[in-house]
Amino acid sequence: MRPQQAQCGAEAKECRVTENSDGEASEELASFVAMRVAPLAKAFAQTPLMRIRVRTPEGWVTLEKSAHKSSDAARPTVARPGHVPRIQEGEPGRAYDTINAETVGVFRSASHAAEFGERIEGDRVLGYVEALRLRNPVTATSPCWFVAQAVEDGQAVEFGEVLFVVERGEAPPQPEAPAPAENGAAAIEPPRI
Amino acid sequence: MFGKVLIANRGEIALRVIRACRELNVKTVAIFSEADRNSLHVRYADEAFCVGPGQSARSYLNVPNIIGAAEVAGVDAIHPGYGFLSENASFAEICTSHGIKFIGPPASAISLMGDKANAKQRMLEAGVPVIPGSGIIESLPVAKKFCSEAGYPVLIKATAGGGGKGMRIVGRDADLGAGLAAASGEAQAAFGNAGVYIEKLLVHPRHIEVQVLADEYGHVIHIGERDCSVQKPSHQKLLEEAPAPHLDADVRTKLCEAAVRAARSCEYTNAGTLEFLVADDGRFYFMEMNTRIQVEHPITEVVYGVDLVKWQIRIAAGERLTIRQEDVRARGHAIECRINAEDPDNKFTPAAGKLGSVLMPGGPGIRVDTHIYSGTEVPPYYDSMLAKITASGRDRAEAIARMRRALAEIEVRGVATTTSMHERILNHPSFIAGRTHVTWLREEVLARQAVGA
Repeated sequence: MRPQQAQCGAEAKECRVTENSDGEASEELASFVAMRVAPLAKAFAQTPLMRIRVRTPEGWVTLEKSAHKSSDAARPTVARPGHVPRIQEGEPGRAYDTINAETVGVFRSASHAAEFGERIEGDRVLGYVEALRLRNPVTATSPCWFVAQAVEDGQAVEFGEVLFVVERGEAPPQPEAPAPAENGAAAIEPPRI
Repeated sequence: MFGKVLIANRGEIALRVIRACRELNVKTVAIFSEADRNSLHVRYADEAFCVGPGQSARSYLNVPNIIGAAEVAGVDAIHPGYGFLSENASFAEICTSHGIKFIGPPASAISLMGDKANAKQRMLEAGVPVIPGSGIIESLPVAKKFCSEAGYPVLIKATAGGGGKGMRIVGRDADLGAGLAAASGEAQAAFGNAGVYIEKLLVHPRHIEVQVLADEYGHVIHIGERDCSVQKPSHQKLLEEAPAPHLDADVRTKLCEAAVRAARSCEYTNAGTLEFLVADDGRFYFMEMNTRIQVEHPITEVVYGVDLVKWQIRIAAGERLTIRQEDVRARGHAIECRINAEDPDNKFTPAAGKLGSVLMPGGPGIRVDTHIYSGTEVPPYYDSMLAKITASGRDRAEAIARMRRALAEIEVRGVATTTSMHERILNHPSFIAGRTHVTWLREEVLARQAVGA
């Protein structure tokens, strides 16, 4: 979907949009922020994670919580031996997997919402996309750890839209050390479109 | 009038429909594949929904996702453009069953005219000439009787045929027996069925089609004809013009009247095109009906001053067609060149990739319908057409002069295009004289070029 204007949610108001080489945030970037980043930031705020990196249809999004704001959210967990967070060379943040919409329609949450860090089996119904008077179940397709739901109940979704963020590694998602970056800033890379 | 329309297409036709909607003060919803995320139709529409990945089957032909987008956006109607779902009767029915108006003819008309045998039968009943054909030939005297009535040359075809097997061209009565025996034997060997039938063979016919418009209250008119004889060896049109050059006034009248009869016979509504083959002697034969807007519709719009796409929308919205047949008059001449991402020197092989600099022509008498701009990515999944250039003038000579000038102004870097082929066509003496036919490009331009090389 292409909204008429960028409308960041409360959780995304502190976003700092990385400007492009011309020094101007493009219309596409504003749209990208409203369409992909705002819902993701809202979902991210509900998790104890300090950093999240997700591939959206238009490009990568990396969100970080500042240290002073995340103190109540950050929950110490023990990493399993041998678990290596998947951080791509030269890219900040850990890349999480996503479950994306195959159907265009209206998203409906599952009656029993998954929680952060919960182990999810492949056939677990995480939500539905309603279209043509049918409720199309959205499943994880393979076992994973639940991280966040990136869309809200009743929200219109298009093909490829990120519905859920999950961790398909062996270990559950781990809160990471806060970044030594500017306070309250979330870095968003320009969409690679 | 509709409040919001979804355009179930891409490229220049999606833009064309968006423009018509804007002029009618109708909101637009675009659909796009992941490969078209940066396409102009996505940018120009009021809303846009991604409906699938690059492959057409999973995006522009993905009916559930397209209807899903239509429902989410709350549209009143869907315009299918051309290609993709435009002549899919079941899609038209699905739209109706979801309370969405399909901007096109009723599903019954799409279905009827999409079946060649049924369409031909209906045309015969409506008094529209079709290419004469025999039933299965059971004896030589029966074959001779048919051929003497239809006239030589004829084409013998296998009833179970395909791929050119069991086909023979016969030019005179004396060769008919041998031709039948050869075709029948070949058919038996290839298909295990020796049955053959005979069709009249038209030598070097022209492809002339007639535009029709019909409202939902029984008012049917034609908007003149287009000559689409300049075709690639694959029979795809490359250049079209309106009116058809050197078409006898009496033949033109009969052709257009036949098209209106044909449209009436299938209770047609909205815009449609009747395609005919026209022989040297002026006889014409129904070939097929395209139950949608045509690629080449701009030449009709320019010459007759009728906005066909806006009329499609208005008719679908229940408006009456207010154009009277006697008001339809050609003014001047128009030519359309299809600028495709194809290499004309290599069998029109399609090209894809990122375009470099793109400059389109302008100036008096030039209309450009395109979705490309500098830096556009041309995906490999879709039709290779990049732009349609329409040149119009007071007469054919002026239209040709303007088109030559426009072609010289075009710059499309990064892929091979058909621009150079159009320059060759527009400078060819036969084209300048208005003497082309459906195999002219292959026989007179490409073959000679190959010999010359």
